[in-house]
Amino acid sequence: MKRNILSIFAIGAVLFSSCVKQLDVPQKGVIGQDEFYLTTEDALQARTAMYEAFVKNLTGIYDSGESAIYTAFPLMLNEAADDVIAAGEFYGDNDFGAAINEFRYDTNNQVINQVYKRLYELAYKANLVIDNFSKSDDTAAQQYVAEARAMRAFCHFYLAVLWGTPPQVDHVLTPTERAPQLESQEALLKWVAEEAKDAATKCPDKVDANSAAIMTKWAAYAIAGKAFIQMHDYKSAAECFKAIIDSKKYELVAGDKWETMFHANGKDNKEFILQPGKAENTALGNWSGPIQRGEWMMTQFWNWRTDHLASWPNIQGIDGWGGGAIRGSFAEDWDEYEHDSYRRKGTFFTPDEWIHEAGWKDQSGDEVRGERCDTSVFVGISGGTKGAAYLYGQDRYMYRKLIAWKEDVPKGNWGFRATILCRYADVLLLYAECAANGAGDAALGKQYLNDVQKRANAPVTDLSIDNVKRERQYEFWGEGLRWIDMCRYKEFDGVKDNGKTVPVTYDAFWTKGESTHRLYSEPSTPNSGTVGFQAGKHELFPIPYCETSLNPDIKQNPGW
Amino acid sequence: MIINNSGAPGQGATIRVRGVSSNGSAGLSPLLIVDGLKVDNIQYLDPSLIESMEVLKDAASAAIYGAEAGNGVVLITTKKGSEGHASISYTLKMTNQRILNTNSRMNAEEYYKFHEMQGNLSASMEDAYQKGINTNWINEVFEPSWAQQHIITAQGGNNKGHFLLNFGYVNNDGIVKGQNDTYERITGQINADYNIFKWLQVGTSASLEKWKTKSVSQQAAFSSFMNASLQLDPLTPVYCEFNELPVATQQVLSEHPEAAMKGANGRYYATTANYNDNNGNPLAQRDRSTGVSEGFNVRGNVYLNLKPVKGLVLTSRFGFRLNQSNSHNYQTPFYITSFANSKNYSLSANNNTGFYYQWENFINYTLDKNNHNFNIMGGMSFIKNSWDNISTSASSKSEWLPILKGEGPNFQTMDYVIADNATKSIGNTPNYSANLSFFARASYSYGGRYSVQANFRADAFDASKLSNKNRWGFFPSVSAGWTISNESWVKDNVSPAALTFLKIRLSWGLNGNVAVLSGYPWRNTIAYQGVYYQYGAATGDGSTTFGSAPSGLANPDLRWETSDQWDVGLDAKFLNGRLSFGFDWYRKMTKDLLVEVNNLPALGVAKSYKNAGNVLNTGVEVELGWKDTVGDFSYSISGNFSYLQNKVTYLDSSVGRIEAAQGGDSANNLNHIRKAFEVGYPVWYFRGYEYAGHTDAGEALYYNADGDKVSASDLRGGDDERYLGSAIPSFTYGVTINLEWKGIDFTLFGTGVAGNKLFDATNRDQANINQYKWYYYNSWTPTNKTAYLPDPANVSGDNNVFYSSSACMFDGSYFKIKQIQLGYTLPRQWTKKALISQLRVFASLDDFVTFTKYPGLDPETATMSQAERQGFDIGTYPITQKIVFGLNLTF
Repeated sequence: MKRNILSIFAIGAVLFSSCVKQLDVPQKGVIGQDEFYLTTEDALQARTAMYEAFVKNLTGIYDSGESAIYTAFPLMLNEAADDVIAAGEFYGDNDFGAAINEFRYDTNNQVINQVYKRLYELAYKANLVIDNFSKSDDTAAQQYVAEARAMRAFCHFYLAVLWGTPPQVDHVLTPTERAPQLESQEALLKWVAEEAKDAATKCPDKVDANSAAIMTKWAAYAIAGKAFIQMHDYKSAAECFKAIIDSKKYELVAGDKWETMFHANGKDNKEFILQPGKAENTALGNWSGPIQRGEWMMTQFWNWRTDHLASWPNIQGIDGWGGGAIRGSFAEDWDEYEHDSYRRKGTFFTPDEWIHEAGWKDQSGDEVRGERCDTSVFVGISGGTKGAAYLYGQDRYMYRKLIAWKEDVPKGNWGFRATILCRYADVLLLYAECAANGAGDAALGKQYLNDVQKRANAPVTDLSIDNVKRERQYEFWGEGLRWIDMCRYKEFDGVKDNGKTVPVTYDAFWTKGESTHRLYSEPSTPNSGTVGFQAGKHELFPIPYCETSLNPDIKQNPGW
Repeated sequence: MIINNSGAPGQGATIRVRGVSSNGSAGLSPLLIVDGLKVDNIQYLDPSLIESMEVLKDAASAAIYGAEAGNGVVLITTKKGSEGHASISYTLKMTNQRILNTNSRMNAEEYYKFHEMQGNLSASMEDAYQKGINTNWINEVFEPSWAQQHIITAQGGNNKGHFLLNFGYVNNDGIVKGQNDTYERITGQINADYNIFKWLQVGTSASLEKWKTKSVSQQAAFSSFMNASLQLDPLTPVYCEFNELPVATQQVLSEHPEAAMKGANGRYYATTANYNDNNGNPLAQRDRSTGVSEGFNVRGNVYLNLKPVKGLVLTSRFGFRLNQSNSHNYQTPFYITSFANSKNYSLSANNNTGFYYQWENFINYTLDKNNHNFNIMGGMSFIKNSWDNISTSASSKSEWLPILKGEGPNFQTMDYVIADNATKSIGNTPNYSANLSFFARASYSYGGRYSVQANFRADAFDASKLSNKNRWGFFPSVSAGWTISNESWVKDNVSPAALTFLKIRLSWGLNGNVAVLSGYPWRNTIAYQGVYYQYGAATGDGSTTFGSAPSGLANPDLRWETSDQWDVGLDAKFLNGRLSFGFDWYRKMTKDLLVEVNNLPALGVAKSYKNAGNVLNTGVEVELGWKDTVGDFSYSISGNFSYLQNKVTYLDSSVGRIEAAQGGDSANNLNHIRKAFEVGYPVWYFRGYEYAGHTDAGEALYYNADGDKVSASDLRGGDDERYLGSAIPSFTYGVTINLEWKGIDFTLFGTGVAGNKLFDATNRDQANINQYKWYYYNSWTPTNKTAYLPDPANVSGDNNVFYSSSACMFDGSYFKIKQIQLGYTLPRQWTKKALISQLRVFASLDDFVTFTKYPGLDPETATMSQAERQGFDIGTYPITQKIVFGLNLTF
């Protein structure tokens, strides 16, 4: 009897321990964090994860779990500029962007929240590399740490310019830690500049066009220079820019190829300093990365609306929402100043050019060009199938720089266009700006200014602050640099009346029965509340709701 | 409370017992146990097989069932076979189902006039209205349909054993027009038990189910077929000619006619000219969803009862669930609009298998002496669930490229894919989960008057939920009861004619829940090589380099969510048992609630899990019933009523307020209404702007944080939003009436809820989608200045404020008469002549009458299943009204 009881207990004990062991289900697809961040290979992987966040968060549509129907980062920077108008099918369409353009956004605005979160996620990935490998002796690891420091500085540059004094994250935070806010925007910019300049010494040199996909020495200097110049420290900024120019690693793309920089087949050039890498790879499933970083929503948002047009112009590869427009008065002045420049032609069509050269198609798909266009029924804003013979938000001049050509959308509605974060022309003009403000070498400043002008086939001028400002506006329209320049110059007059009237473009052939096509625009007044830039409030964006709802003690920006 | 989350054929109902105390849909349903086996759903079970159904709501009785019983337990026992005589029975049920409420959205005239009021009437709308186009999409897409069900049962038994065999067949053609919405099922049930020796009883019950379904999509807001039927404007015709299609569509179709979507009449499916619809045309979407899923499930258990000595029973029970399912889908390119199109061919095939088993061993000892009754029970249970799957898909490498070697269904399988034309992707990861528990119970009762019971349970789940050190949870509970009516001083002084039965109960128990956890949230892990970057992209080299980053933010301190529940109850019967009354008061406090919180942006990781909150659910349940017989006529009326109060009582200080589900679904929805979880408010309440009426001129006003009425442009954002209401009903009630007279039987059953709110979360990033009629009839016009809603022109397109405000929130209360059934059992004398021992015919109207103020299709389904998304109406399949005819024959 006793033996039976004992054997029952023994069996019971064995069963119990084997059952308990079954509870240790191994986790698939992961390794413990204590097994990682040890070797050089681990450092390379961590660095690659940082670049993945780089391309996904700044040029893509997904971030940590939330998707969007736009690419937040370029959208926010472009909408706030004084030479862009928010457009769409009608008032209220694309309101997430229009709210920024018309300065009627609030802390809830999705775009602002997204950009904020995405920049911090990227800084976190950079901090993972820095915190784990800064003490390593391995040269490769040290290079990666330097790249990560430059990346972190890059994030904080935008955080500082857009939000003033948002939290500064200089290490991986523990869950209960609160990152500090520095005492001023200048203090944060100073930190950015010094970090980037210091990191530049260990960042890799440029090897070929692919180097633009990583933080090279020169990209780090560019970030440092931009931070210095934003604080108006022209001397330090000039030094940084000169270092890049003196390296002779970069060249301006030829003028007649200027436009190719903004399309898929123009990435292999010597002008790009920083541009995240994305290319076709048929072994990857579409939704496992390519679509998320493949320009899908960038294309949809910025392409012209073809559903209001008489036919689909051949120049554009796919339909779009017509989310933005170039400001008419600005385009008019530009056209008058340098009608024949490569960059003018590559940035927008004059109404005349649009009617004759956009590549309208007749019923059998053949192109209608030249004089035939004047009276053709396949041209212009006929209303399409929507019966809506207008383009809301457009002001007669249709931009060309931001639309996707057929080669840009090989996958139907997405592809692999470049999102340029920094190019050589920017460095040359910023040096010129420093020189015009008394730092650096005035003669060199004028030379670099003229280099950019000659390349663009634009009039060559003397070195002056106003000339540089104008040059920057023409060279970089739609590239997300204008708002930063406006903040630096403190010139916000151009946006004081944003939203008070919104232009709507019509085609007299269709609306007035005229014999030839003629674009004209009329202002509409759709906004009944307060709109337009308000001094004392809109110089900085408000700390968004995703932060204030969790951290009510944070110091909010003035006016909010 | 049973929530029918969707009326789609084959979709089961969700059951909620006593409010919402946990998060995620996994954490909300009560535990379903059929014959001792934990099952995932009970749709396969034919109601005629159910012998008894018991709902355990209070902690003490549910405690013995362990961790998942935190939300209540539903115990179902199937029939075992009646002793004495064998019988065979056959049941036939024919059900006609339809949607009654087809007019919730605007018709052409209302739509046209509403847009006139909004000031955005377009030329195409004017055109269509003049042509007299008036499409009621619900009527175009849905039609009444028949479902049939056949059941045959054979059962019998004697004093040594019993058996029951059952075979059933269901064929349900869903209410969507055409054959793309169907459900077919064959079920079988075998129950048998036998006493091999006096001290050894063995038995088994097994149910087999083979099912096949084709179903259209629903519940995903953006690309939902049901949504398309609700949102398309009535000024769009169903069909059109080629030259009426959008220009872009014509251009594409002239190059690729294979992408045309045409109806059975040869005409093209039309699409709206008034906005960019993601679906194009719901009938086209229906034609496209040709996917088929089928599978089989086997659920059952085998058990062994040993009775070596008197009063002692040793039981070993092995329960199992085997399931296997396949699904196949083939999609061809189509082009309706530049948003609703696909230029790729794609084929997918998936196979899932799972094996779940639970092994329980327990000892039960009962001792009866004098008037004392003593019982102890102790045992263990081990559950393991393992699954494996293969998912494959092939899609065109470039636009318009066919991927199959031939045309037609005979080629639509993976073996016939042209390798060079398709990108294939394959997925597979088998896995398993396990849990182990020990339990014990002791109960004592004396003289049929006093009873006391104590339970104890220890549970451990596997590593995917909690770390080793926090794995075990210990849950005790006690209960006591006093049957006053059996007391001698009551029996002697009060006659049963007045008081037949009176019992007071009291219980307290602790229970736990980890159902929302998964994916090792406590562990610091790296998603090894989970991301990639293309360093060589500029020169055209697309090769990938892999990177690794942490998979999330770990919380090593994660532990069990526990709830302790007090329950006080009273059961009484009066007047010889004719009047019955039950009363329950309960208080359930859930601590260490597992919440997925948003992290501060600076942390760089969006969300993580925390034990961060306490929720209090308290309420009252009352049941009242009367039954009586007068001669041949017997009748009974019973009603139940419950009141629930739900509140978050504590939230970790690092988490001020948790917000989720903005806009109702994903971040794609552009309005700001969201759910929030905050101290002092009900769980996941609606948070948005509060609508404050309008000015005399029709301009909308809202309350700001100071309580002033301001216009939309003066609102500051999140800080002016406030509590708008809760999606959890405070009151739930039901009523049942049974009448019987000489073979005729009548049943009426109704349920209702009150105190909850619903939000119209139609995706409004387009101003011209169709809306509920309510908006047209209740808007300000110059001649109707006292209407509830403001001037449509003032709020048209205002997703930021108006459509994020309480103006789009409705009272979700309803009362539904769920069943009205009339049956007749033919007199025995007649049927005996045909060897039929019983023949009953019946007709019933199910879900036919709804009393509600909600302007939508169905307040019962106007919600989503997860706790943090309850109350958002995004267009779900409504519950259909059913007319049932049936016949039941027993031989």
